[in-house]
Amino acid sequence: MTDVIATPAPAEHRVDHELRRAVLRPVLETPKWWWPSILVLGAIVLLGIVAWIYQLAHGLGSAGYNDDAFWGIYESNLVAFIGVSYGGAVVSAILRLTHQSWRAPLTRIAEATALVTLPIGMLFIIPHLGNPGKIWELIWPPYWNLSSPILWDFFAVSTYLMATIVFFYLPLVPDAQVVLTQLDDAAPSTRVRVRQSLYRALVGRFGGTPTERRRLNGSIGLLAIMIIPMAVSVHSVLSFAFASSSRPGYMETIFPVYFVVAALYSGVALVVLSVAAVRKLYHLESYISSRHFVRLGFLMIAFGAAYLYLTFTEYLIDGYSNTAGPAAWVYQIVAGRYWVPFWFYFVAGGLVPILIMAIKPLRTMTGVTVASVLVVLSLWVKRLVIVIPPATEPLVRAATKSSGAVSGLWGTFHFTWVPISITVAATAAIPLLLLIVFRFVPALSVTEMEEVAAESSHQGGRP
Amino acid sequence: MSRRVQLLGGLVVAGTASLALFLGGVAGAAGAGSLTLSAHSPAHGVGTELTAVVDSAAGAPVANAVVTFSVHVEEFAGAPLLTVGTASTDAAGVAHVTYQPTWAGPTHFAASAALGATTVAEGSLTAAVTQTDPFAGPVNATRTDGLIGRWAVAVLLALVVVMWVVLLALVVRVQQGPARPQES
Repeated sequence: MTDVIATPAPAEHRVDHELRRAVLRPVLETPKWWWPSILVLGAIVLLGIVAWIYQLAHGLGSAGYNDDAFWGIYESNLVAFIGVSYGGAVVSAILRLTHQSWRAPLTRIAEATALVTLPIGMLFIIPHLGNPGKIWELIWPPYWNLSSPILWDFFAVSTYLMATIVFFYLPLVPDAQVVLTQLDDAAPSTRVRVRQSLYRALVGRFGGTPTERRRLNGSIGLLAIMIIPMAVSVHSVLSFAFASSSRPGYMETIFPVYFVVAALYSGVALVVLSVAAVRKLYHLESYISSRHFVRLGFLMIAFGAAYLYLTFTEYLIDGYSNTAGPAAWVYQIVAGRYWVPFWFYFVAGGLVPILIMAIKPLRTMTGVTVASVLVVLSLWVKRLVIVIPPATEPLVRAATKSSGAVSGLWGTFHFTWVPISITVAATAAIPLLLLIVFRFVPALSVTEMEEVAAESSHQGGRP
Repeated sequence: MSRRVQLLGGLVVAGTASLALFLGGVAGAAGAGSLTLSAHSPAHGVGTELTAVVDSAAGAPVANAVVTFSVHVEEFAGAPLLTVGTASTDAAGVAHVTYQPTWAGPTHFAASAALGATTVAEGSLTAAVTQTDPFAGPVNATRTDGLIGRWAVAVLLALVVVMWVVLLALVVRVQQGPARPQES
């Protein structure tokens, strides 16, 4: 296979052979670490499936749900995973629309991250509902309820999934053509033939002529414009499930924009982590530099600062109103039973990343990666802080005394091994799916990098 | 079957209750059960306390039945019954929850009692709510009654369809192959 990679490209195309060699090698050859990684990650995912089967047999109570904590970790995961997906797609779209030349090595990784995290996030609705049969009743007429934000979540997220697939697919077409060209020169085998069929299906009748390139770039541009409002709407609609309730802590008009900014913040952080991992595993140090990390880091903390401000705004207004429900809820979060996770988010996910980017010696590849780990982790905790406290408020349906009166006690969501295992499995599914995707698809957009390099050399600048 | 019910307090001033009887497996009783639903102001705080009294066909109180209380809403598409709470009946067959109405005017409440998976009795009540949660809005506010919801549903569904069509068209456009003569 190495010989195939080294095969010179047609003379009419000026290509960077080193780039093609580095990027196509993991696609055409199986890296030594690939199978062990797949097996380990697959085993973790399997553990999550076992936990889900256990939950099916023993009920939602085994996952920590109870009458006084009706929403918990699954709803948080749903928001968190779909959120990070949103960040990947929007970052790529923004960089494309603004013609940032440094985007080229990042867009494929960002789009792939969006592609794999979205379905994982969507799957959390299944354990969240308890009985998987309810999915059918949720989305299919005449059982569906058009009054339910959950049904609109389904419409929005499935449409966004379709957009994410197309947004990943379109820039892939010319790269699939490049891989197909390489495979055409390979020794015939079943594996090669299967792969050729796959790439032919991806390429279709695309021939790579200048006109087809213009058409492709126009379509990518249009989709980049579409996907931003689409992603905004998806996460806004996701917040409706909370905001359209009458429960203090959920009924917040700030939630749509709050959710969108959180998604961008955590999404950029996950893109940084994906880029760091891909760079290391596929030895792409020559193409992804510290400069990329620092720029992504600045983008990340811009969203982080906005999110901190929105958090302040939400709590200030609810606390200042001094109405029984919202004020009690704010107190419990800031100084009551939920203070630890809240302040963990505030320090680790708010202040520390900003400090890392503000202090020049810390503003390195390692610094940005550490900040991103903190952001992803603390934003997941923040989603728990959003979901669980209002779900445990002692309202009408709260725990009652023997007399039947509301006890006034807050409910408790129990973190059992079941939801923790499913959460860990879903987290492991991200690198698992990325490894599978990048086994078939170049991790960097080869043709885009070549185009950007050509444009840059015309303009006398660096890519 | 319907009957007048006694309504207490100032929050709900008048109402009629209709009872629907079900044949079911009421523990300790053979035949139909009955559920009498009433609404009144709670002893403390604001809201409407909904009370259900569940009796067996023999007139004996049914204890430990789970009663689900609902209110009829029409804020978006459809006209569903929104569950406002559940409670178990005590030894006297009584269960109650407190609900804060957000709208004044005739309000339709419903309740359903179940023992295990078996519904043993249902009842409903239309009451004139005169006072609401003070933070919910003015007493004489005009409600949308689904007007916005009906249009929103149509427009949003149309948008979803349009987006799917555009996305598929983009894929077809790129995959269609060599340019037509007028394009090149």
